[in-house]
Amino acid sequence: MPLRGAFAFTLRWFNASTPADIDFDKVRTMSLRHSINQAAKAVVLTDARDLPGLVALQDLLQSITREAQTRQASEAAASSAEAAELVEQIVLRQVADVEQAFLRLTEAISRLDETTPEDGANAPSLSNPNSGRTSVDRDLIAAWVSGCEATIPELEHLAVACEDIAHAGNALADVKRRIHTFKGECGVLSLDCAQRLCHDTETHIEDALAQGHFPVDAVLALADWLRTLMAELANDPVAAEPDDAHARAALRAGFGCDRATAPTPTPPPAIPAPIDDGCAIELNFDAADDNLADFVTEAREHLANAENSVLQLEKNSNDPEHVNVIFRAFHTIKGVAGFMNLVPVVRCAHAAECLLDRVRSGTRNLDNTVLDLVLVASDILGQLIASINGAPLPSKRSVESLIVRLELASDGNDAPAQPPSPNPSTATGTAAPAAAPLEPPAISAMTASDPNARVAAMRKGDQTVKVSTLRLDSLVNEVGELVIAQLMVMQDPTITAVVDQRLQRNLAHLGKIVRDLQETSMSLRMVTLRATFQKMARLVRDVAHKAGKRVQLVVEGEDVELDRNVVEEIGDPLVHMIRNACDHGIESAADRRAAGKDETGTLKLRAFHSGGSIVIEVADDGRGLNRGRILKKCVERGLLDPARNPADIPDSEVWNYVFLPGFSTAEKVTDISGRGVGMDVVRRNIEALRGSVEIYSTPGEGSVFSMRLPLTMAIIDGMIVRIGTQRYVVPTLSIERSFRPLESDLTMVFGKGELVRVGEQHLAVHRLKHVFDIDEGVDALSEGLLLVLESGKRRACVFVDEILGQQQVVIKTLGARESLRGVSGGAILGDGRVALIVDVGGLLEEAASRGHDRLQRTDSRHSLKEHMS
Amino acid sequence: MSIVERPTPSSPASTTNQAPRKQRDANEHKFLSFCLGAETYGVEILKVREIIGLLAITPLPQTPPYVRGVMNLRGRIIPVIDLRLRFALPAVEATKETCVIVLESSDSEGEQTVMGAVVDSVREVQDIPPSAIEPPPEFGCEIPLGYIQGMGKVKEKVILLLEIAEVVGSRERQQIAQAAAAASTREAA
Repeated sequence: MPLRGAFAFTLRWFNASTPADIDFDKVRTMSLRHSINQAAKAVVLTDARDLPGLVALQDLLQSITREAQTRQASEAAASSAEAAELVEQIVLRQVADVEQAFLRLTEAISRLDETTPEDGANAPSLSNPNSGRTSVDRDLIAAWVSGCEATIPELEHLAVACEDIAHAGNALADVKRRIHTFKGECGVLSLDCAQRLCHDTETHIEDALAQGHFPVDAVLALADWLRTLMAELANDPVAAEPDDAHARAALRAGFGCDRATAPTPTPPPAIPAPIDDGCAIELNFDAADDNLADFVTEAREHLANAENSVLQLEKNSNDPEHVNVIFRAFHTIKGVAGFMNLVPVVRCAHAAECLLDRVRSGTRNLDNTVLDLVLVASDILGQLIASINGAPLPSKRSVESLIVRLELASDGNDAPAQPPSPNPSTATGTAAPAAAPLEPPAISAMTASDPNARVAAMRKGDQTVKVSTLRLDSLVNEVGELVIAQLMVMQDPTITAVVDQRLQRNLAHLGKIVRDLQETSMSLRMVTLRATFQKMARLVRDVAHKAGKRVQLVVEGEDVELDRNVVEEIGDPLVHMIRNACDHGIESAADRRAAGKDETGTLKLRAFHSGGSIVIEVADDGRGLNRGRILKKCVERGLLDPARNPADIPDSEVWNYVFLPGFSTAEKVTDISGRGVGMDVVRRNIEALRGSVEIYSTPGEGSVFSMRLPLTMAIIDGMIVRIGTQRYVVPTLSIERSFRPLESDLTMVFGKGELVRVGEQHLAVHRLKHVFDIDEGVDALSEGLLLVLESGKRRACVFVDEILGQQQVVIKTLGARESLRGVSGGAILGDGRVALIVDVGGLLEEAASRGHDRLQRTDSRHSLKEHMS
Repeated sequence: MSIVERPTPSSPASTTNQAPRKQRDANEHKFLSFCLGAETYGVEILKVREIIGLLAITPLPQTPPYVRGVMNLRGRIIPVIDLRLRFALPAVEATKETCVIVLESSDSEGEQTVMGAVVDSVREVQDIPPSAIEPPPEFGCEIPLGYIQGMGKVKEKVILLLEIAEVVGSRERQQIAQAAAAASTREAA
């Protein structure tokens, strides 16, 4: 399944129009080229089950065939006819493997695209490759470009992983699929040049694989070129595609593009020593070493300098000083890393240094390969060094393959793309004509477009600034203070007494500015959910694959923004929920068919705003939770009174049992109502974020897991409660309800512990004034208010004088080093005074332990009395 | 209202930049004197961040009585201790003179603590050269004197110079000890 699914998904993901949007009637009257583009688009967008779309596509293809025949383009007509026939077969379900058929269909249309002669003056021609794109939505391109920022590095990563074919495994298929996807996407976006390049690269991969190796350089060149393209498109969605000569040169150099005339390419040197299977390398360091932090900072600077010099060299490769800068950077890193015993760093730096030494001594030309390798080395070193600070380590394979590539390059026998320069004595620093004999324009194209693109990319990078989170936090804090200070001024009795219109107007203006400022400062910490959701797409694919199910992921609202801290924390719960949904929620294809559902299950992941918080939902159309089984399990485990009539228990209560820790393990043996795996983890994580999670489920129709999360961790929604003259903030989320107790609902236990009846339950009453040792406040329960608080398993009533109101407060630390039980921090209220924020979990625990102490004391007194009597 | 311009610590190697260093040296022997009852105490001026009037203080639960609570120092919440209660002097009503000295101290791990100390009144900034400081007296071991840095003699009067990190430090230690004792009694029960 995955191919088509991934395809469809990728496209849906960048908001492409659906097949229904393609007006086939209109298309027919347009140019042949346009029709073909439309067909290519339709092929990518249409699903095997989308019969109307397929039929329309078939119509379109037939019309193309007729048109091609009238233009006497027999090849094109044949391709088109073949494609039309394939569509017909798919429609009539005459094909065994739909995926295969779609691949063939795509190929046929690519062929059609290649063989079609240019039509008329209004058709896009090679000299004006972008005119076909004027019709393409700019937003579409922009969305694609932003998506590619993540996918291109992935492609590169995969390509490098494929270098060692024996261990490439899935990566190989993944690379192929990704390139194919790129091709399809480029086709949709009328990026003809890119589409062709992808297509050619695909062909070359097949050829190379037939010869037993993988053309890493060609793929990397493609990735580089795509990146250049992205940089161009990011600036101007209808910009001309950059010259692909360089990338093509890499293709040709490696494999002899023109197979008819080129001599059989010498097989590239096999990568020696099948690299160790372990995918993580080891970096041993003494975390306590003070020099380490300095090393990290310095090394980063060195790498940044080196990268800068590489870019300079690309622009103007005549200055040997830049080479020296790079050399020195690697040399210093090597030296210090050696001192710290960071072996992988030393090895990488050493290999890079050797290569650069050859360049310095003039025995190796400074060409693009060298520069690229230096950049890669710099990246890997950067990753290695970042790992000291806890970032993930780069894979062993990437490190080893880098070292090998560096070594090969310094032997003058580097990548297949770079045969040793015919004249090694050419001076250092001159533009290397290494690739010149093969493709003279490549160099000029490279020097002309590539550095520009890099510079453009850098300039683009300048638009965002990396700021330390500490500074960001302090800015947010200070703005929070500004808001408070402004409120204090506004509420000042002297100010409110003044009836001066101008003053009031100015104050109102000030208020507006402060609010805007607060909004902006809050947004600084906000990031979209896009990256998180993208990871989930991959997860769904993998889990579904493993479970042998067909699952389609529909994502909505990935642009919703959340506080960075929150986004970092929801990854785990989401993984659990999605894995559960795929594993337990969605049935197998056979079961689904039996239930009269579509064989492909749908998993909806959506995020949306809802009243000051964010809701993230994982919805599946599977079998739903099994109420009966959960209840049975509850009774077995003694969680539920067996006397209760199951029919009376509300659904919400039943679903809640799923979250109980350990519930899942007991359910693991059953295959049906599982659904509890890791759910307690989910709930705990979400509650740590001050969020909540709910389940809605309908048997046979599916279930929805809904997480409600605060927009930010820095602010909570709190109830301000009063005890005497003191005010406390209780997080609104923890308050279930509040009420003034009736005398008749109160019960005394032992003359000490108090209970109150809430609904059918009796809850313990804790007085906040007792827990916090406050000397003031009312004593009679009937004169104050009881708050029903809930935290984890604990549920109890807390007694306060009254609720003053609800307010969003900025959470601050108390400055005291030792933490206080029951207090999670402080908040500065509108009058400038500090109110303590109640940590409900801690409070209930503290209250319970105090109550326990008290009861014990009473007990011991009792026993003492008994003893004495 | 900052009492002193904090000199930027200059690197010891630099010989050209002597001025701030001199200033720092000069400040090293300066002490802010304040009153608690009839006694005069002093703290190193380098540890004093500012002096503010008594603001609203929010009490903290589960803390010893001399911890007055927390207050809002321009958006930052800082703990406030009452030096009177800390030194077991009787509590008094706040007067116009009562103020909070905001002190900065770093512990052994180099972590900075900002803390307010309520005093009856502040006096002046005085120069007390090391020659005029005598080691704390020996009263026997019952009275913990770790927080007395020394006794400064100024114009025939004696000022008790406080080691502020110790004032807080011993409080922390004391609290840890209290908590440990409470836990053990709870366990014993």
